[in-house]
Amino acid sequence: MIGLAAALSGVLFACGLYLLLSRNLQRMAIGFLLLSNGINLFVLTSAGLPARAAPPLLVEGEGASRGPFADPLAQAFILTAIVIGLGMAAFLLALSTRHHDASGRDDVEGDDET
Amino acid sequence: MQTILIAIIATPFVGAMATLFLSARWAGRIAFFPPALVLVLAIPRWPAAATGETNIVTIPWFPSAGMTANLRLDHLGAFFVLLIAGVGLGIVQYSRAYLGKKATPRFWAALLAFMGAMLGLVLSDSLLLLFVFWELTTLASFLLIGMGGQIPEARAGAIRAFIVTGAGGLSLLAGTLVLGQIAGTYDLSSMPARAERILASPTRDVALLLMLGGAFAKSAQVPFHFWLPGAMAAPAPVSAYLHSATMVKAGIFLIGRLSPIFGASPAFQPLLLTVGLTTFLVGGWDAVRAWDLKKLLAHSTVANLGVLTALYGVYPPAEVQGGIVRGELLSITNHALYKSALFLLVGWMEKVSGTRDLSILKEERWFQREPVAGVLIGIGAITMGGFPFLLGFMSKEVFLEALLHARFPGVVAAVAAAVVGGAMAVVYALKLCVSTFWGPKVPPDSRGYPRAALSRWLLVVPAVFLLPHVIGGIAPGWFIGSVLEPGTHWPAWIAVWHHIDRIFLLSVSTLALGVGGYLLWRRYAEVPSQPETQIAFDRLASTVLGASNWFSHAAQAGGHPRYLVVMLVFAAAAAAAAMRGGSPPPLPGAEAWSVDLAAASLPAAIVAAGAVLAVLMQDRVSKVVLMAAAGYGLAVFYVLFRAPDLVLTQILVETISLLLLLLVFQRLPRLGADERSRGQRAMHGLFAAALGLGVAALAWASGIHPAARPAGVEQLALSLPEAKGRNVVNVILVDFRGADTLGEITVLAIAAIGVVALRVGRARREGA
Repeated sequence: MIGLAAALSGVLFACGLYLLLSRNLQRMAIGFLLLSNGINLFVLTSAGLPARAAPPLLVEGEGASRGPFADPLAQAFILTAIVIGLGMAAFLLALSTRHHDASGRDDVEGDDET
Repeated sequence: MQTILIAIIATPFVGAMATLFLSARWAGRIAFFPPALVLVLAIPRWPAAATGETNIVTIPWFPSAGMTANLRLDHLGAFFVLLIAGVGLGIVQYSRAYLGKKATPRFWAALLAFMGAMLGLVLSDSLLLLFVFWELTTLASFLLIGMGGQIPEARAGAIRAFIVTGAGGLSLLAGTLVLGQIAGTYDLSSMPARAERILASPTRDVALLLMLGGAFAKSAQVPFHFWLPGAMAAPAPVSAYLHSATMVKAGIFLIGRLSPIFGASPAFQPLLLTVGLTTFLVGGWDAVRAWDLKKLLAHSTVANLGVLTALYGVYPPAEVQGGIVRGELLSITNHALYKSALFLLVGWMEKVSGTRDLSILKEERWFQREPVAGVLIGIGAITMGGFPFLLGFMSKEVFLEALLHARFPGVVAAVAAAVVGGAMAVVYALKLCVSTFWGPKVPPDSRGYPRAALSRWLLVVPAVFLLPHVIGGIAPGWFIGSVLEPGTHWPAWIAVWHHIDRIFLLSVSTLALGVGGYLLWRRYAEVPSQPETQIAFDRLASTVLGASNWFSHAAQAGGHPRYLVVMLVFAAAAAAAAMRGGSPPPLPGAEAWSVDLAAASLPAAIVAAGAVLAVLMQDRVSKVVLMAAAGYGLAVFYVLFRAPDLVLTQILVETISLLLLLLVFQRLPRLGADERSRGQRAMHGLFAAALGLGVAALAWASGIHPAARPAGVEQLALSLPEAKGRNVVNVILVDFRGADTLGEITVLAIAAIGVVALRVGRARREGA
């Protein structure tokens, strides 16, 4: 399970990064979303998963004694990261359309003039 | 006491704020009040403080981190308060007339802010507070040196001073943190009691060297001494105040505060003595060679600061009372007053004669035209050269006496250095008074300032500064033994001929050597170029700037692909370094491959295929849909990871992203073939694959080695009893780590504002 998730996070990361390295804004947007998914899975995987873990939902009266539970902290981090990822993607897209309106292009130039 | 100390520090800052809102004229008038008020507050405290009473005011700042903003008023601190406010009062009066229209409200604000920062520095008991004020003085000094911002020399001098003292400030900060860690407190007054513990620590010398680095940079000790002459681009009152009387003494003050803590450390005294005496000689030699009168004074200031540093290296730690060594306050008073007076007088002479170049002045007889200034400069020069009858003589005697009574290897060399340095002081003192005023020719009328514009009343300020030298020279027993350093023993009356001993002989030979040296200088000196250290610094600075330019171009050219690669390479290197130690065997109970494998294989296949095909497909709609498929597959994975909240969020966000991409892409041109060349694609692909592999390895390694205490255990345990929430993830988000969520919301709000701003700008333009 951990091994599979680790491999997948690597695949998502590599595919996202490859697209993000392009100068085309549409490729970059897709790459960005793939990359953020890959990183989320990476964080979740590195937190590990105890055998026969339960979701971190407690039952009144039993508390945390019934464990083991999946690590709730990693999940909280990822929840935050997913939402922020969406916000950043929206900003990236708005920037892309504005760039296109201004220059008529959908790619970014490098500053190779030096 | 608390109110008084805070009022002393706050008054100049309030004045600085006020001057910013006033006209230059009124700003100059108002500026009189802060130093006057500080004197009124501080003078009544002096008798008690001078006899050893110490007041510590406790002000908590950040109690949980052990940080305080404690203030302390003791002998050393009260002395500096009076010095800063007293000299400040005179400087304010002088500046108003001397600078005239050049004194803008900004100048007054910077000057008063400097005064406040300096007062705060000497009253701080907390090292952290001291550091804050320390940096404020650096900043104010930068603003005041760079006042003539149009002149390249002023700009260069300001920047050089800022870099050197700023770097010293960083060194002080680092030293403060190390020392605070060792001592377990940042309060200077609690440290001497813990000296044994501090000295037993292995990082003791690191802390000491870092702290002294800061002090040496501020007080222009070798090898940091070159910034001070460059700071002379500032107007004369600024040089007098910051760069001779007060700011450059801050390093000496810090050494005084450190001496009860580090005094017994084997490195402390030899280091101070060596650096101090070297500075004494280097500064003296530079002053002997100087042709610019102001530079001469600056170099001699460097030399004097060297003596003050060396004083702390001579006396055995047991004789250092409350951070003050015998004769130290005398030497500081002596130097601060005569040197600021001389700066003001040289500023006056520059206006009167139109130059401060000694090669011109020594041909002219200015005494005829400026007898008052001549006499005053003469008094200042006599005390500078350590001639009898004035305070400077006492100061020099004390230094020699200390050296002769000290027991350490190399004491003979130290005495020789003191004699040679003293002789050089005689040479430049004679240069200053004799060569400036007794030339062969009558001075021309053509050069210089219109006479009517300069009031002779200006000379009152330096005259007042020189008064204590005469009093102290005539009645040292009263002036030093009762007022400055009560409890120490001094001869009651003029003590020149009291007896013929080794000190007396050394004094006489110093004077004789100096006079001889001056005669040689008159005969053989030629106008030289600037001191080499300054050139070396400028070369070093341009080399550093050149190298950093090259590096920026190398690391930051080629657009975002290059930036990404550079950043990721460093991140990967850091991660690899962390993993280098190899991995311990997995903890028992860690589930690497489980029965879930069967359930996981289908979503895993979807995610992998979605991601890979999103890269390979050409059509953009297919790309987006495949990307979304990978995202939904991930949601299934979150189910297997027992994360119900993530599943819901992921599905929601993935749907919104899908819609967003499809909508926005419609407005963008069709996606053509990948614009990268085949070679570039291969490079990028290899790089991405390598990093993906690294990410997978890291995830695997940390996933099968669960932490001994997983981060969330505490939250699991506390969730019900403390936060009354059953969904631990939600409790973490809104309660335990609520600040994170606030940050998240802020990021989202900023992104939303950005999106709206980008769209609205476009709509307006289209409407127009």
